[in-house]
Amino acid sequence: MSPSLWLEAWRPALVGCVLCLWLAVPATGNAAPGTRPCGEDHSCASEGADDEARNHSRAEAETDVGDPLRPFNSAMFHLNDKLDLHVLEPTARGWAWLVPPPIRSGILNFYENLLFPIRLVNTALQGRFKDTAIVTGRFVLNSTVGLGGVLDPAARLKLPPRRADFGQTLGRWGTPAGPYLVWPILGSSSVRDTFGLLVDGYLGTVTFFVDTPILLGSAALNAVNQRAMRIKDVDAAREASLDFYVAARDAWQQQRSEDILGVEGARAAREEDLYFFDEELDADEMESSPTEAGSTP
Amino acid sequence: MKIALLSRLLGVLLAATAADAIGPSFALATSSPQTASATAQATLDQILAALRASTTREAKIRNVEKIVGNRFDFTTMSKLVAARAWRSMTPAQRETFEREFRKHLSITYGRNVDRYTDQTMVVVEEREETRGDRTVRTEIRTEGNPSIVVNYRMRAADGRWQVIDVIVENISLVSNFRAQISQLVGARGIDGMLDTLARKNAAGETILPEEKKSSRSQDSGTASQTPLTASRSREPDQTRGAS
Repeated sequence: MSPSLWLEAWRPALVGCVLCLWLAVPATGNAAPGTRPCGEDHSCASEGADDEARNHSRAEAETDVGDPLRPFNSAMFHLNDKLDLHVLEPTARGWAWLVPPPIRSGILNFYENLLFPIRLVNTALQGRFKDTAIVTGRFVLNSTVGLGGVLDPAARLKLPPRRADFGQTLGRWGTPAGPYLVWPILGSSSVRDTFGLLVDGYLGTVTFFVDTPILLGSAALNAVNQRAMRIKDVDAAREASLDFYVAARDAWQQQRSEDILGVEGARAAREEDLYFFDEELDADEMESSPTEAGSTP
Repeated sequence: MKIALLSRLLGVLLAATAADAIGPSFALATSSPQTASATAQATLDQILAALRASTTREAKIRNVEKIVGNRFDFTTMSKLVAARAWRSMTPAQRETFEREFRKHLSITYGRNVDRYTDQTMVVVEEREETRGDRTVRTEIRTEGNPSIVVNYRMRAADGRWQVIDVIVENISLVSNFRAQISQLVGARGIDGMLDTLARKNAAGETILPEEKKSSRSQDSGTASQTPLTASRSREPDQTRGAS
């Protein structure tokens, strides 16, 4: 994704921040080092009870990330919101008016294709070798038959994109997320994932030997182009939320939980707390207010 | 990245709206116990049919709401969303919360009914969860776009399967609202939370007809100060035995 490209310019400042935070913040998770990463499509939870327990503790480290930096995060979030409202969205509207959809999706595909080095390295580091193969196949096919990545013939061959980033790699190997962080422009992250972003930013840019000004322009183009595809969605999400900041944070945390624990792992991790948060309370309710829900039609 | 996630969330919400539409015809089916998948598929079909058949947006919303109202267990959803706060709520507060939460879903998701007409919604698989729950995995398919995975968490009550959570691309609606409600209760207490919810709804109802994009200016957490001129046109009719 484009944010990683932005990092070229930010790197020195960010590294400083990250190192400070990283050192200052005691590790919150109790994930065992050397936890085996799980494959994208496989159930992490099926690796035995021991692993399952470990997954749960990892899940806690993952999903119950506190928000000790909330004042800062909230300020950044609202800054981003304003930037979006006054800069990004108007630009994206203009862009959407100007550029026909096929060209926009071509641009989207092109940038997606450029993520290849990041995904190659990270799927391999996570031991997701099948995904490594898929990612490589996609890049080769889309770069050639797909005219430099503008088209996505691989998707038609049932080879959809595979997400992978270095924050995820760290998470799968047991690194706790650390506090939630919102960066200007880049948006939601965590201490761990910010570090991951730096590594990915390096991977993503150094591979293609491009100058910083070009990178920045290119990242801006990518951002505007992506935003143009989401014009109504952001408004809708905002309107649908009672507290937009918390809604965005929770969505991000759920997404990361899935990235790191796998679909099955994330599912198992949230199961009890989410759907049976208080069994006794449930029972009480059943007694005292029988089937209010099942109103007779 | 953030934006992409939020739009997924949006998708969940849309699905929820859709589910609402399916209610009435379902009532007929309740006598014979159905599988969760069959229930889900029938409901989705009803919703799509309602969306296609209705011409005005008001009719679409009304019809979908009927269907969803019958198929969603809003009481359980409210309880799961309120979580810890539910314990300290009085019966009256619980009732208010359920009503307002439901209204919130219907307003915010109803706003998007226009966008969802060309899709097909297909049940892909059903899986068993702990303690008798089921998850029905569905896909929303649109030509030329990657399909969106929507999971419906279902629980049986009185032999009927009802939806208790909608999980869009692995983002759970219940989890998302639980986080927000917990934040609001922590900051303002239960009454403050209910008040925020009610005001948001009142504001939402006024802008619904023209689909203004104005609510942008309202800061999410700090409840809009919009006058309570809510045109209560389409409040779900059934008060559902909440005597």
